[in-house]
Amino acid sequence: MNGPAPIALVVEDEPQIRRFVCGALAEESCRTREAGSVAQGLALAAREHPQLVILDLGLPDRDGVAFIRELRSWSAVPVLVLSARTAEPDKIAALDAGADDYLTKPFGVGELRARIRAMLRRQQTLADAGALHRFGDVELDLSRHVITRAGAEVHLTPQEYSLLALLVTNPGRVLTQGFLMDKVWGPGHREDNHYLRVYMGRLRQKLEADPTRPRHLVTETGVGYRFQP
Amino acid sequence: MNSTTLDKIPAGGPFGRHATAIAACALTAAVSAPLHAVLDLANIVMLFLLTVFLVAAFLGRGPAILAAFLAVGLFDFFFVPPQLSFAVADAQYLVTFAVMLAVGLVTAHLVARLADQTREARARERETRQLYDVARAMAGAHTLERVVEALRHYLQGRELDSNLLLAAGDDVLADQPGGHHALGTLESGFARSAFQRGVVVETDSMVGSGIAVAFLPLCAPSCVRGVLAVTPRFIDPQDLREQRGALEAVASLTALALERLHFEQVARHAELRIAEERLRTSVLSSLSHDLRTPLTTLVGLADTLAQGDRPLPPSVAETAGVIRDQAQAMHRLLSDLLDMARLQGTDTALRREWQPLEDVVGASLRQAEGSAAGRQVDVALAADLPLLHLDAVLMERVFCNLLDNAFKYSTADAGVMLTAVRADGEVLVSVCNEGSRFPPDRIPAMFDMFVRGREESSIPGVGLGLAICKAIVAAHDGRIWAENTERGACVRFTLPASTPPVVEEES
Repeated sequence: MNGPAPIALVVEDEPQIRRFVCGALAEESCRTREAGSVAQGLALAAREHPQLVILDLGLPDRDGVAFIRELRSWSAVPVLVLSARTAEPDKIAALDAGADDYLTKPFGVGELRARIRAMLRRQQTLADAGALHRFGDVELDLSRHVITRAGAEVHLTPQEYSLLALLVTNPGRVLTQGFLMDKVWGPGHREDNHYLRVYMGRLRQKLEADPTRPRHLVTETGVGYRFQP
Repeated sequence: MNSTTLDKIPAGGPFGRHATAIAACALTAAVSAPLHAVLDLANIVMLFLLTVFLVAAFLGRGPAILAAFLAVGLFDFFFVPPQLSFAVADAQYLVTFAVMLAVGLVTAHLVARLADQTREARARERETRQLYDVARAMAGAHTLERVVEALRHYLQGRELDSNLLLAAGDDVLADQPGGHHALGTLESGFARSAFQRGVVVETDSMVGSGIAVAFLPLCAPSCVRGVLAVTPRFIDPQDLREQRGALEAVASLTALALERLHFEQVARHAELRIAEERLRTSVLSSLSHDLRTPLTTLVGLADTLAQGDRPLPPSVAETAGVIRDQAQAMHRLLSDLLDMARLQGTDTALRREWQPLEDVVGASLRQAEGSAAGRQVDVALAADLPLLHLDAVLMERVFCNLLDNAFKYSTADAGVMLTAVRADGEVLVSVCNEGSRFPPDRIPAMFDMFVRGREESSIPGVGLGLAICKAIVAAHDGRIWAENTERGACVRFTLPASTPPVVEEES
């Protein structure tokens, strides 16, 4: 990466977890800033303008979701949330508030570093890609609304197309079911999210090499979907 | 007969009252006789009519009629010329007699009717007050004993003994303690009949025989709550018939009181259960947080050592890897225990949504990659599978546990298959491995907690995986079982395929 090393802010109240998360960030050549509470985290974020935020949802002073909401009012910095497995509603709340991705505790360092890399790379990838996106043997031209798979054109319905475009333009980000329903079917359809699943199944049938083992249109169970380039 | 119907009427019985009427008329005649010289006959008639009127007012209809006739007779005999004879000199006195008799009879009738109405009104008022008292006592009663006490007190005031039989389960009536007598077979039969049909059963002919003769069902809005068996102390069936209305009223009051007590109890239980569940959830979540945090640290720090960019001596790197793997195994165990505890809660809240099974299977395969160690799963999902109403997070757990078992308990080269087909309004899912089978004698208990396929095995686990699967599948109204096939071992489960919502196609 060119330019000065990116700054990463870690907001986590457990010092030992903070320690190895910072270790992983350092391995990815980030400069780290540490905070143990929401208030401290917001103050640091305002002062340091980090390029990445790693946030634990269970903080002593305030809810992590409140942190994201406040941060999002003035910053678009990518946020990675750390949370427990059984807390799907918390994850959804965090993602809907503006978080980009989550990691379920406990997590390996390898996985953490992969997420850090993906998040740092994302802005760059999006800027580079422009209107043309590629994954697997699929090519998607957003300017011409054309999708080809192994050179052959694939026909998508308008809603399939808008769902795919939404996912592809947010690579690596977890998009919640509610968000996707709102964007593709319009608000007021949150109860009908079986539509989303059926359409996702159709996209996989048309675009994935093995629809039962999707590589790019990935389900985040109980939360939403993620496009993996 | 109690005092209700004797209201305002002097004691002494009908004969006494008639005698009094005769005496009153005789007295009138005796008083009028000396006045005969100074009073006109018409005024003497008035005195007799006054007597009839007073007799009617104070002694009732029968004595009044007697007095009317007596008054005419006495007037004729002592006052109408020729005196001391029933003969009448002037025929115009016949008109006097007729008018006197008519006025006397009508007066007797009217006054007596008025007295009757007053008596009835008083009786009704007393009845209403008694019912009101019993209703108030029952409304304030917070225990069954209080309701029974109020009921007995009321009935005893009406010369009635009682047994209260309450519904206890299907078709079973339990006699409440303190009943009048132990009910015989015949009485129990009547009671059951009243209970089942919800109508009053009455055997008038047995009034006074000391057994219960009236059986009133306690019909509350939601169901028949029991039967009130009444044993009268009096012997006149007519008296019982007169009390029928009041008895029905008190039976329905009792039924309402019982219903209220029942729902009070239900509400108390629900409150208790909610509090229990809240406590359980908060204990589980703080336990989960407190145990997960050190494990996360352990996994992360060990992983940092094992995977760091700076090379470590091989034995140190290996040790770090083992610490990480063991911490992760510990976390799986912890998750199993917490999940099981959560699933055993009285009502596990499922977050069910309509979804294709393929979606859950795909996510589970991704999850299971960690324990698969490069092994492949053959997936065959029938093309006609309907949308299923699932809690995807829990169902993913079922798939992961089953796949994990299939990997763990078979050799590294054995195939693992995941199939789903539609069958009889259900979807049948099977996770099978080739080669090793279940020990047949262990199959029945395999889904119990802390039971493992093989005792003292070197394969890690505590035997919660299948118990969790069973709890989750059961929460989805499905069944789960294990069986050995020709090629290996299978765990199969069903999920009900109810009618999914329509997916409208784009126009």
